[in-house]
Amino acid sequence: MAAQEDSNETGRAGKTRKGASRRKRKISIRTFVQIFFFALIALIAINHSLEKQGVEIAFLSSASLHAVCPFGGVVSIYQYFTAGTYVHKIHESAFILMYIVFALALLVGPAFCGWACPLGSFQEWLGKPGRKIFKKRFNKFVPPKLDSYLRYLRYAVLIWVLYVTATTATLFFADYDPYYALFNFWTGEVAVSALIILGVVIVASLFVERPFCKYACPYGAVLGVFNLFRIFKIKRNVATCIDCKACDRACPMNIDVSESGTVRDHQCISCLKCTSENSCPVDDTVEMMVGTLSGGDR
Amino acid sequence: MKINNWLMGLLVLVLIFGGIGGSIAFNLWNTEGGGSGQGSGDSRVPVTFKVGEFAGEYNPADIRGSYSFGHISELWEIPLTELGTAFGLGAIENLADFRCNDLEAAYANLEEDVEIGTDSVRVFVALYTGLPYLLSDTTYLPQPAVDILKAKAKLVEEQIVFLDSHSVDITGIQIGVSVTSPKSQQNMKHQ
Repeated sequence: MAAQEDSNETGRAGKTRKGASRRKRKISIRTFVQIFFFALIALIAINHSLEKQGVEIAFLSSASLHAVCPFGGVVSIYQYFTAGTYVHKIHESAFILMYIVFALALLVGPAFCGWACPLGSFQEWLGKPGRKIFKKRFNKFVPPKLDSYLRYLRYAVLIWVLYVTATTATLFFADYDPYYALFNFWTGEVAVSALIILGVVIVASLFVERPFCKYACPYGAVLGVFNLFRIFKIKRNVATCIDCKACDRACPMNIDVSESGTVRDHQCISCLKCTSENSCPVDDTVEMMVGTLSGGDR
Repeated sequence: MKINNWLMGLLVLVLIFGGIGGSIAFNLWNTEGGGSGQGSGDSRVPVTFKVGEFAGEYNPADIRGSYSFGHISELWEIPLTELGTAFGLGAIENLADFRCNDLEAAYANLEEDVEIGTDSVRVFVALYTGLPYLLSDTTYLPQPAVDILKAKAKLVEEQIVFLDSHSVDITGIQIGVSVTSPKSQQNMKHQ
């Protein structure tokens, strides 16, 4: 019996080491994808500015930022289905991207937020020095009670953006959008309000991970709903979980993965940081998958 | 089936760029002016009103920055000279090639928060032709455009009030005209 327990412990330890050894290499895949999208959008924005001066980077789109933002499609929905037109500065490309990102979200949740959104990546990178400075206090500055209410603020922002865009038929959110400000601050076309909000996001990112994503992003609000019915879900194997809460600590959105069987939290960004592949020390315990884990999940 | 980091990275890249590639293959991808109409540049046909008394008419809301004055003149049957006079561009030789995009640059010297651009053309076309259009508080028209509308269009009281409060006296304003049409790259200054 004792020998068997030793064997089990060895097995679990073996699994644990295996999981830990893979960690560093695999996180870099997400970082690579994030850098790729950030650089791509930055270059497109620069190319758009250069095009106005008669210069252009070859083999690269010079589309406006609005044309390659899937949220542009979302804010245009009302006008498209009532008048058959797009909101000023929005084109077919934004609509197509909206459908693509919806398809992605239906499969795996808001992976666009966790893997591709350049503003999300930017906040995440800014959080790294914050984490070094504040250590365990980082990302825990907002009192839990207040935080739980603030998490729904982005739905209010979403309703406001959709309503005003529908009634004015203009892309008014550009005047408040830190994403637009980040990639256009040099053009002189960015409203002071957007620059101020970008400044606030930059400072807040040193204290809280992804503050704009958590509390104000209207597109994150839309995509977050997909967490309720995405096909591939984050699942925790209750039978093998050692309750170390490594998954909770790894989650940039402060979701208590260790208290869930299946993560349906509207704030999950499908970054996979909580999984056995990245932070959970036990193999096959926290996974994004379809179906049920062998040990059982709720 | 599990999704690991590699698979997720691949899924994100393949779905996004595969989707874009597919839409390009089916000629659906468009990142420039022209909106939801068909074609490109001056071959583009704007969308029409789908229902109501204006069903079948071209919708001025679909006028894009890439539309030339010549194209707009043809589509909405507004004399080209009238468009030129309305926007203070009567002295331009190649007025038909002048694009709505160029208006913002032409009127770049206006005071802050006052902009004459593509939306001004939409408003002018809509009011001139009597087609419905949502008037935006941030849109202004040159005084000659307002004068033409008051003289020739059937305006309701609310529209007259809007025009009176959203007109810009362009007398003495330096209009920097730069026609970006591929047909003509001439630059000229117009007093």
